[in-house]
Amino acid sequence: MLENPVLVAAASGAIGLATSMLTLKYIARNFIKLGISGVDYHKPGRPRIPEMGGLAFIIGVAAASIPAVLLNLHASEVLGVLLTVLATGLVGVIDDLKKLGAVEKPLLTAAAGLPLILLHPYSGSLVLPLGIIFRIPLIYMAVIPGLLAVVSNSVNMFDTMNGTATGSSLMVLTTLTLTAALKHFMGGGFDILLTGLLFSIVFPPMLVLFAYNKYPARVFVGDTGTLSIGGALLAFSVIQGCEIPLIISLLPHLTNGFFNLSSVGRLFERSELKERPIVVSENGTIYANRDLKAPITLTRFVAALGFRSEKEIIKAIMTLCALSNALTILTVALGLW
Amino acid sequence: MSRLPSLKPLVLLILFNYVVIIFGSHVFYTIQVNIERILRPLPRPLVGFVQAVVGLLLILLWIFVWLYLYKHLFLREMRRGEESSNQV
Repeated sequence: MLENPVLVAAASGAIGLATSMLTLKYIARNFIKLGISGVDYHKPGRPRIPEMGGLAFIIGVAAASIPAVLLNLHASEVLGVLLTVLATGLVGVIDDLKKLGAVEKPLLTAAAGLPLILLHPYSGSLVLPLGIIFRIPLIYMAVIPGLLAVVSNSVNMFDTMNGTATGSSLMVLTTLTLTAALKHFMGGGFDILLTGLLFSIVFPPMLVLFAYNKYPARVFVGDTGTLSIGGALLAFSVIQGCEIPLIISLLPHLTNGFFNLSSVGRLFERSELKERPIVVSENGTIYANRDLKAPITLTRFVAALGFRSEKEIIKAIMTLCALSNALTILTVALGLW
Repeated sequence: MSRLPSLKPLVLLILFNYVVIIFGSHVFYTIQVNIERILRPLPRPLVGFVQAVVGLLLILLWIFVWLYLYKHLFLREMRRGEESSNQV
């Protein structure tokens, strides 16, 4: 009875929820006193908010993985997600405590893909839209670190406003799960129990993190959170073979990351920027920076469209994320992927 | 979703990329297969090289159009903002 996958998934979900909730309560109460905090620049009065809330996500996923690993239920897949989250989370912790360089961070997040490559819990085939399948096990293996660096850092660059990174990642994870479920019921050979198990391990800690990080944020997730969330999303989609749905769902993130890089012309750290993409007035009204040297981020674009308050900009960004996730589900439902 | 009309330029960008991902991969695949068919008499490494170069050019073309669209739409919105603030 203990090995019933539904029971294991339920237990994992409950453990993940409880541990991440307790960790976040501790972080919210004590991290400002410990000096681990950041300034919320988009609020009047610029309050200090506890940083590194992502630790709760990492601890939650680790605790939630224990039942499945102990009972050897899809152990290599669960370990694949867990080790990717731990490895990317470690890069995030180092970056939060001792700022990593603009080149070191993507290189280290790429290296965090090694556990996933060594465990090999994926098929090695790339399923493209309209029924095109490439069986490329060696190339696929080589591509995983690059994909991990792109996805993790895109989620990281998307963390510009309260809850944008965590909220959009929740949408992406739910969409990937729905995609796998749809494919299962349409006869696509997807293992719905594995999907449910991985979802129950990753979703509850992410939900708790969002509850604390959403507007107005009580905790910042830090690079610890954004990089590990990106790692979880990539591992989840690689194991499920849902790379194209992940790319479509992440279109706002990829657009934001790509234009950050192209307008600056190189890899960079946010602290290196001389011109900020947006200007925040004393009363909290946000304007797009008119200086042409400032990076053309998604937030700056949304502000240029006339969205003035932080809350309005967050809602606009989440609407774009909802659109790209709806396109993913539509693609699968119409049989285009 | 009531905000979608005011987000028109960004929605357009997402839809453009979506169409490229869905239909572009089929176009990409067809071009690669046809290159192989036409160049079959040539040595295999040369065919592979041509396929890689054409593939890379197609991806660069996508990125160029994406970049151009994004910058063009952003600058248009900035100009509009400036014009309306000048009128006030």
